[in-house]
Amino acid sequence: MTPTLRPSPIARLPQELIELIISDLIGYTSALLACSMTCYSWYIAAVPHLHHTLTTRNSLTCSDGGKSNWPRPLRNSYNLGLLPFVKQFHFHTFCDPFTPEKLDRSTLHHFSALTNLQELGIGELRVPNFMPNIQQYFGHFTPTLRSLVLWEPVGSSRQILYFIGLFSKLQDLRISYVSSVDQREGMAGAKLVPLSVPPLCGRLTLKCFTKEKLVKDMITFFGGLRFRYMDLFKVKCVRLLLGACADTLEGLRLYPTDPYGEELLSRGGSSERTQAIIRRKPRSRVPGF
Amino acid sequence: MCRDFDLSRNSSLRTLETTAASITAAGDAASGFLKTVLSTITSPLPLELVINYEMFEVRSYSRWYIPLQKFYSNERAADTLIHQERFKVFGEMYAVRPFRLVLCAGVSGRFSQDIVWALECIVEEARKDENSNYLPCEPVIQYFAC
Repeated sequence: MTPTLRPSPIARLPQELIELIISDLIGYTSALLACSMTCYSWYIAAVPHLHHTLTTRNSLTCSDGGKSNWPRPLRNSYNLGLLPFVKQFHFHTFCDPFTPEKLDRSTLHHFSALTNLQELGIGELRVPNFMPNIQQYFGHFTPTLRSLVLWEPVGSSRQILYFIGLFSKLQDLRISYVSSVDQREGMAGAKLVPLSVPPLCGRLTLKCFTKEKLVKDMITFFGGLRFRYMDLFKVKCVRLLLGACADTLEGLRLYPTDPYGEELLSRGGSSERTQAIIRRKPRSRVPGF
Repeated sequence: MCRDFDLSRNSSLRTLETTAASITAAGDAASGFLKTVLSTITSPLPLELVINYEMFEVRSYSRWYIPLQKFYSNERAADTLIHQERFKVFGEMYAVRPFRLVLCAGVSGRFSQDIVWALECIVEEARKDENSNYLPCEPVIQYFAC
């Protein structure tokens, strides 16, 4: 007698139930990886979470001596057809600015395959180098992009404003510098007008930020600011920001060491927590709480 | 500098956040700074004060640290002092403007229960401390995956 292989009961589970099970494992890469290898339906449910974030970075521990591995991760994900799953893309390298040379014809083609990107993070973006055709490089993110992270962006306030204005559905904005000094403010692109007015109604994070003119230009060209959360450290124009968001601000993160104390660039924040797991509410003794 | 953080016009404000490390780093100035900022809040909404902890700040309270305590008793004693100081700051702040204290930590999955346990120990210690001006409103403990 030939032994017959009975189909696993797992394969008969409704897809909604599988997705519910998988959603409990978000953040546990090894568990997701194991699930993705059980059967096709589990693979379909797990793979979007596995490839949610794509990060390219070079560091001192990088195998090729600190050189960027760009565009290898992008190319590899493209070849495997995984880029449509990517929701967060971070290009964060040290001493390796992001210039148009990083986006040659083939890489730009791969870059365009990030069709569902919601968060874009770029280190040392040289905005002037992309002008005047910056829209050709980043414009395809406009329909989906909700969050923009810029580490050490280079450019005049108006150029950075123009870049922000490319994304008409942008809600969260984060701009970080390592130091408060040497944020050169040129007059380049003084006549640039942003192409759209993004809602900018989510979270604003600024670290070591002295570009007051950028904030003023945002208020002028975007008709005010509507951020609900702010995380401010060593920011020159705190009063201006708080005034601009007077009606909308629900949460503020500040640091008692600001602005002259030690830098405490903390990762994440409770307002950013999208995956809050537990919240213990003990007995309240104060009315209203 | 405190004048910059004038929150009198922010009518929808309901959460003020900071990090436990920055309170300690600021030393005596932390209380003054935070009290001044709190005193400017005119929003009628209930306020939450969220204090973000890093894992290393509570490690001497974690369960896996118990067998090692006899070797690291100095570290635990030093941490206890730091937490007492922080709760003193919270008490002083509460006198300026009532709030609900939220102790929050970002952890990876396997440490999640451990950090909750550690934060509960810290709160329990503060409650028992006769010298501390313990808050009338019980703190909330929470963590988020990172």
